[in-house]
Amino acid sequence: MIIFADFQRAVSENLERDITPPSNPEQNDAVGAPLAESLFLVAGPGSGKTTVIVLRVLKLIFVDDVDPTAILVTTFTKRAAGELRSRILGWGDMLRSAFLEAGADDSLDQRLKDLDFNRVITGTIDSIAEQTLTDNRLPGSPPPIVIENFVANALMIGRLWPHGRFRDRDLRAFVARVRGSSWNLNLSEISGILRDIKDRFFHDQIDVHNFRSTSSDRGVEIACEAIDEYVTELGTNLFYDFARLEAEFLRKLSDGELGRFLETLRFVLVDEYQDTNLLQELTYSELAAAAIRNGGSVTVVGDDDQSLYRFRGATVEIFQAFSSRFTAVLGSPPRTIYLSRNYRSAAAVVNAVNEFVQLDPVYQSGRVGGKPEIVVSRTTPHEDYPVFGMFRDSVTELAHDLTEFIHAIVHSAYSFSSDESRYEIRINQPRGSPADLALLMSSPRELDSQGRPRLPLLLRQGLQSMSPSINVFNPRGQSLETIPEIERLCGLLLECIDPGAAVQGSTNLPTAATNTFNIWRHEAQDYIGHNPQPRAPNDLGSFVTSWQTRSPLGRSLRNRREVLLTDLIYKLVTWVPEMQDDIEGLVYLEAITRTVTQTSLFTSFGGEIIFDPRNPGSRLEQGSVREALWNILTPLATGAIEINEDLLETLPTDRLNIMSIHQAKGLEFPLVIVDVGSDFRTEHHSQAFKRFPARGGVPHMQEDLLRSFSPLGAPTRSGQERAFDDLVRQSFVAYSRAQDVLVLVGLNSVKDGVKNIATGWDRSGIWHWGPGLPNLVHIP
Amino acid sequence: MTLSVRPKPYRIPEYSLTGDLLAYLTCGLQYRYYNKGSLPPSTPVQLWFGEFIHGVMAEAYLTWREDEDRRRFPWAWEPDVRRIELEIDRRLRARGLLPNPRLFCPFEDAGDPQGYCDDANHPHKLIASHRADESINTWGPHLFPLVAEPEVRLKGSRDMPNFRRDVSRSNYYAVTGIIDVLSSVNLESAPPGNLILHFLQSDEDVSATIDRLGTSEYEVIIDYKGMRRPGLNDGAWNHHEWQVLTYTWLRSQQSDSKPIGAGILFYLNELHPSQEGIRELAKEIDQGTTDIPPAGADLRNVQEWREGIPPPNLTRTIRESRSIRIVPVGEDRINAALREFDQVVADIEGSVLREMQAIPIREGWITNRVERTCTACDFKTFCPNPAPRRYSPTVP
Repeated sequence: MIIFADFQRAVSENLERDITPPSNPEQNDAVGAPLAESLFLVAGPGSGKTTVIVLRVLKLIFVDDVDPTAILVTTFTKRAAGELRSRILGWGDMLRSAFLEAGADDSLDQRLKDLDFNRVITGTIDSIAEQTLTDNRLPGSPPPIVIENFVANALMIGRLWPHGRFRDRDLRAFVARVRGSSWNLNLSEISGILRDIKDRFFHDQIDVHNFRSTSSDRGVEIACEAIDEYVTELGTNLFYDFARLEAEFLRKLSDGELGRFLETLRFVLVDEYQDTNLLQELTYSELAAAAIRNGGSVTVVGDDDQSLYRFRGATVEIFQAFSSRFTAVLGSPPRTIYLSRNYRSAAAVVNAVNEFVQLDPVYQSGRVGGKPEIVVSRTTPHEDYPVFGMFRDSVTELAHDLTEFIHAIVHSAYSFSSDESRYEIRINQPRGSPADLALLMSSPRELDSQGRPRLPLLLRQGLQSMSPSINVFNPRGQSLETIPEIERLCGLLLECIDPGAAVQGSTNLPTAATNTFNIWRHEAQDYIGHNPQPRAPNDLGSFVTSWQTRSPLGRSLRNRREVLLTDLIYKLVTWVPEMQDDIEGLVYLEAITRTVTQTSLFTSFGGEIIFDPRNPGSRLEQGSVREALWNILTPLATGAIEINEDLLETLPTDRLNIMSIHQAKGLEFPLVIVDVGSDFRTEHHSQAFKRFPARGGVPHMQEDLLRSFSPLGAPTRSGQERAFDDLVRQSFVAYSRAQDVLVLVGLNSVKDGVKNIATGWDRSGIWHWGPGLPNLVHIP
Repeated sequence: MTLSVRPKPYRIPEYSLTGDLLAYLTCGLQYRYYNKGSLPPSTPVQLWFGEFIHGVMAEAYLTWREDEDRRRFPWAWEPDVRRIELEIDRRLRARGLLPNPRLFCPFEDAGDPQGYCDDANHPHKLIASHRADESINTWGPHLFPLVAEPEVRLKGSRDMPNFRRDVSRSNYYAVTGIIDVLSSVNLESAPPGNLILHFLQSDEDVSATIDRLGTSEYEVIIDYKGMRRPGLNDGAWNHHEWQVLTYTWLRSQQSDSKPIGAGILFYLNELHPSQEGIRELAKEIDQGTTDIPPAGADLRNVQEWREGIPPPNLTRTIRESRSIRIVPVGEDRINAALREFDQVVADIEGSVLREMQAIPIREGWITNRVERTCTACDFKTFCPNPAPRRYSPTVP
């Protein structure tokens, strides 16, 4: 339809992206590759892979005249899929307008006008599976209903609790072995490990029969029984968890049940392929085979150095061996293109990242072969500052100085001298904001396992106490059950439905849940004592008392009534203004109401409480309360519920981001602070897995347990080696998020010698960066 | 060094016509909580029935299409319609949507517990079942043979109204919907007694539009509403028309579409009106605000009906006529509808931007004081502007 040279020119003029060979031969090769040429794009951080994927899609449409419905693009997260789709729509429309303005004959004009970029299939593999199975179902067969993780968790807990199965010694011993420790092995933990194993059954295509029959461990048998029951329960309720959804998609693709869908497919583009598992690889192979049959090709994009999701079943070896695995299945080898120009970061950051990833000789042997270094290609004007370090004797001191550092950058400027150089950092005024900064760490939890404050808590408190204060955005900093608004609302709910903890006291609940309930109740009583607004016509105290005594207030009611818990919750929110006006508060409220709605699926009272003025405390009422305590409030109290971070998309930019390195994947920030050791005062064995592992961690142990029953075979590197590899990748991802400035922070003990991959040690114990970290410019 | 400004993620906001734009028109603040904030309604009567009747009609069509034994009507409530009802109820339950016990009996036979039903002689044909039965048997014979494509997903993008670089979230917004499509080819081969054909041919605007198309190949788009026919002074009357006209525009953007000859809305509650429906109809007759008023015995029955007694049995003719609404399409009308929804998107985006500037939610979203909406709203006790007056939480 359009010749490629015109396409290149239009891209350059309208999208400000230069993909011509002199400027960017690799991107040009990737975008302009012939229709039938399959591609393996190894894309370093900041190399514009989203740009390449989108432009390849648009080139197929504009230049090769490919019908948009024949193109499928998939990536790892909903957020990334949304951005890909938006870029295809936005850039597609801008290019179309440019071509129409340039003038062409009537027939081309009409074809351009008819293009519908919305028809490109985009999404995560899960959303595409769900949509395709829905669109291609037979009458009477329901569309798949995909449940959230916490509902899956509730289902698994339901297989472990009723018969006391979770107390079985053999099961506990088995789970402790898989998890590497029996410490704090509660019901929720056991359920989580069994769900991990169940997911691996699907992801790694485990021969479960063989696994069961070759094990003499009774714990294995009990675990498999619980998993069997869980999967049966899913089927009975028409539910799919994500693993079962993907397995069903693959089954229907392989069995020819989705023939009509495959008939039109010509191009498959897969982003973030380094985090693919075997089940997904098989699925992509089915899609790729159809595309190639239809005269098209497949493109996979990824970077093994950025593979972070082993704990969710990702198998980085599938990416590393893509060329040979693809050739074995589909006949001809793909063309490998390295996208190594980094358009994101300043030179000092790129150089630091390049140097870091090459420190560990053993790590090199596991990387994709022939991979070039990342090349500085940032074109936007910027100053080049070195990588900074801030190390202090204690976490309190570190938090204090980091608070001042951040506050000064946001509200004026932070300046200091080092080695006769003077540095000054400030945000852009007026367009900049605290959201231009991010603190990244392996875990952003505010408290450690002993309940002691960690850097994120101290930093939050410090920034909030400054004048003017700075808010912090750290949705994973606190367990949901410890957030004040949640404590208050859940406490009020408990006080209303179960006064004096009468039912709670007579119900066999997990200890952790009972302890949290008591804290919530205390918070609620305290809050009632403060008599919050509104106080007329009824105040909070009289509302709660009326509920406790089952005495109607503001309405007449003589007979029994069933009251929906969500109705009571919304009424209580009248006295919790944070849940009415603040986005984060609203997201917490959503988590509570979602728990009520979804868990009511398994309950006989369906999320209702019996309210009987004539017979308060009846057996029926107690039954309804007991069920609410067990099914709704216990998951909330034991950390089984997570907030929906998608609902935070409109969060104001007036707050500093504190996030895990996993959360930061795919993001970039002008200034990135990476915590490389605020927890490591000594080389304590309990934190070795975060810095210098003595053995494999939980995901590695699960791989060792199961992979020999998978077509993948047992891992070729030891668990400890894989644990080291994962730490290198984590730091690589963290450091490469920085656009302008990278700051490493930690304790002086780390600067002076605690072994830590993030500070330049290799696994053989050689410290490449050396004592005092002289490669960094230290902030005094 | 002055730091760069973190680039905003490029994300084109996506709006569903029913889930977002119509919901926002009901009340901005309620939309923020229920739809954008995903807070579930405590008593989702309307949500459940809307989803239920859509599901029933879609499944009934698939059954009709795939099973030759089911081509003849009427279908018996038991087992034909009931089987579909239970299947849809099961799917909705799995999504956390439970029926109101006054609306639908979820039990299969006398062996089941009594639940909230009057007795254990299940299944009871409650109002949702009456409507499902009537919908399939009234419109199925006329509608199903005309369907060319069921459940067509529509998605289109439009320029963001009031776009401001570096301020607006995106330079485009996307709008989505799902419709069924009828083809002229099927219409022409329909037998003379086909009711849909009759209603289309009786509409002068539609006939003129089809004449102007200058082609014998065109499409008619349809949508079902699990509600009564709105009065002419009800905001929903116009909103539904804009919705169909926007669907028309969206469909016309798809490369495999034919020109659109008309839109049809089915107000399926009219096939089996509730007491509230009769009360509203009587009011509209008094005020002259319904476009399809009953006549003769139907008029008398409605006017003589009193609260507390069952709704009168209206004739099949008036129920059919009130349950179908033909929406003529045309470029001017479509453009006017698109301008209306552009304005809705501009308002929503304005509120989103206020939120991103840390303005409290209740200050940043407008409210729409309508007593009928407010009394059923879960947020009325902390709404800054409820109708007719402030509400205080009651127990229970």
